[in-house]
Amino acid sequence: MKRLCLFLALGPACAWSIDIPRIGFARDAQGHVVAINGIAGNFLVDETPSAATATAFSWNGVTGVLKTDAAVELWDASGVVVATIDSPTAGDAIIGFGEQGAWVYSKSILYRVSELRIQQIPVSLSSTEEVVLALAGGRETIDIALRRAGAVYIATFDIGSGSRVAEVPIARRASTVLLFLGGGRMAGVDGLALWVTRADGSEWSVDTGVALGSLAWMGREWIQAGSGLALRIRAGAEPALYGLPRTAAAE
Amino acid sequence: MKRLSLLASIAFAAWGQLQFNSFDGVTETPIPNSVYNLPGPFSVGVNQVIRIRVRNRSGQLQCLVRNPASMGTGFSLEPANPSLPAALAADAAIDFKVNFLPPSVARSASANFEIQYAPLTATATCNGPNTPVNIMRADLIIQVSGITANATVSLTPNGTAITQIMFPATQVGKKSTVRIYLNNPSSTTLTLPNPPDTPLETKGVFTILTQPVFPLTLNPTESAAVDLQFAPTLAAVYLGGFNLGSLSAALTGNGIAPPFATPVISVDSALTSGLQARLAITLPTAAPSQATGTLTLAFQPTAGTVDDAAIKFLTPNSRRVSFTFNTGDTTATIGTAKEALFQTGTTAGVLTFSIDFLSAATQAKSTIAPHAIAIDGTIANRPNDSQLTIQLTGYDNSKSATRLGFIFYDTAGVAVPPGRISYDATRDFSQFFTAQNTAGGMFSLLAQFPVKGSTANIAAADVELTNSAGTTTLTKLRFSPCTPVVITPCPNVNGCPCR
Repeated sequence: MKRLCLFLALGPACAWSIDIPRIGFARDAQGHVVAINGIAGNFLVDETPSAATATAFSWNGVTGVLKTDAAVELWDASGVVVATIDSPTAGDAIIGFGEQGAWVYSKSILYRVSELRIQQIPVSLSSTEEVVLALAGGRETIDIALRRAGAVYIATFDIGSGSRVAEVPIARRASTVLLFLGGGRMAGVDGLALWVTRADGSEWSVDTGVALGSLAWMGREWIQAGSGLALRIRAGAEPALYGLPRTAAAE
Repeated sequence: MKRLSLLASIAFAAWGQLQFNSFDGVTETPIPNSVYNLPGPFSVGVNQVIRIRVRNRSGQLQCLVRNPASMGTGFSLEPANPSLPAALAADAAIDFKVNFLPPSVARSASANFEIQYAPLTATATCNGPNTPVNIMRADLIIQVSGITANATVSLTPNGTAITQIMFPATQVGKKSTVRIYLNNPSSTTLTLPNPPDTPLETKGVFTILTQPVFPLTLNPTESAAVDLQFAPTLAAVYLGGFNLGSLSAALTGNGIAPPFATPVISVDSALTSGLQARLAITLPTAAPSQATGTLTLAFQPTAGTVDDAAIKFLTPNSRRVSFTFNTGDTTATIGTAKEALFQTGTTAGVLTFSIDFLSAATQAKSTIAPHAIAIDGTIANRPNDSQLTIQLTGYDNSKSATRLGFIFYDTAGVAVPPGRISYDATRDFSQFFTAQNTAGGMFSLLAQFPVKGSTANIAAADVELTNSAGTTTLTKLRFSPCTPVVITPCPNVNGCPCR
């Protein structure tokens, strides 16, 4: 009876809102970040780009990091900038997310961005031999996908000490771009192929016909591949690849 | 006196020994009195070939010493005549051709056709050290009459004479025809000679398709048609000539590349909303050259709705793209690909694809029918112990959403009383679609349900969405706990996003 009363109040008492669905944000070839509204296969580009020209950008629907040469912007779930912090380094960066916020690797330096602060985390990486491809932070450790001597490894570092505690190679040893998807899943670029590991460890892949230079989160379940493709990752469903509308400036 | 008598004897002997005959190629007719009368009319500038057959009636071998010399104004020996000296056996004949090209209008003209010859004895040769010296002459007077004005070439009967004939631009592999006329602008009758002697001539890719029968008699102001044909084999400008005796005209034809076949737009005739579909532009035959065109996408929404801004090609993000056929292509390159990706939007209507290509227009249409509300994503959350949220992302391509229905289930899978809860959302959706104008029928609906007591007892919900085309039912959406993120302060607990 109690619950009945609860749900009888559903109509007028319930809060409703109808809005334009938000896919996320995409960075075009010039580094401008634009909002992408819509649903899968029906993207509407907000032609008003971000004020800043991003050297790296990633937004997973909850947290976002936009890095410029001079600053690191923190975005909230609404895509609003909630903090702008001086960037310790100029240039591009690898951005990852984790339970303790976002991670940024730039110019051989690893930063954790959490609680509106940016903090350098020392890890023992060889800046000359190891190329960082992706980051995924945990509570006490961080996984770093790195390329070394023609192979790709996932190295686990202790956040507190910065020491390497584990390292395993991945099957896609020729991959040049990687992104951690959470739950042990990864996405990567191997030649012209875009591949995604399924929850059971098997692999989905597609020949995109182009050499993709980046993978970055663009929404809660969306990954931007290069500047022109959007990959949808949903639990319980196969990945799906879409084209992103490309403005003339992005060509 | 004796000398005069001798000359007379020589002349008699000549007539008696060499006989002049007219010859039309078949029949040989003796020319009496060594005077060859040729009545006209002859046309100024039109060559007439006069054929003369010389037969040896002397009963013995004769040596024809040399070719006739200059004969008179307008007359000349055709170069292809037999070369003298040459021996001519008894009763044998030799043929000569004399060209007569009247230089001007005249009542008559004449020429002297002289043959020098000598009998050959057993010790003499016709062409050697013992060439006979007892040379005799045989003379033929050629007399023509009725030399009139020339015929002209014009493009119309009785028209002004032309010297340049332009064919219409003609596709390689095709033919075009121009009719010209041979006119007699004079007040007297003209006779144009036989083609074998004064042939109609053209060169190269220009040919004579039809022509009158020659010799052709044209009465005053009369004309005869000649059809000339131009059949280019290359895309190029061709130059040639038309000749009829001294009549001539320059021929010019422009061979042009074969036109492209009509492009075909390959796209599904029936599509659904919310798609990224592919379109290709093909040719049934390979492109003969490089050419570009424009592909335009237009959208006609169903009655009562407005345009949908998401209906566009992806590259560029536009309703207009250019495409190129390179030589030999059967599929156009659109941007850098062999096909174009476009979005079908979230509004029912008709997509019209139009090609503007080499002044030709081609269209293809795809119809997007109204259908029940489509759901692209769902999130059912339990953000705290006093609230449930259901977020539905999808589209209503008829923009006619009316009712929402919810059935909540407890952890045992039993519907929570009172069961199905219905809500009339007609006004809410209508206002939303109106406000969003050209955003199509897509929406993100967030329904928040306050709960008194623990939300943990509510496990799942069915959702029904109804529009004019039908009802969509989502079954057993399972509620998940909401985990606030820590990177930024949550603006409020209820709105805190879940991962």
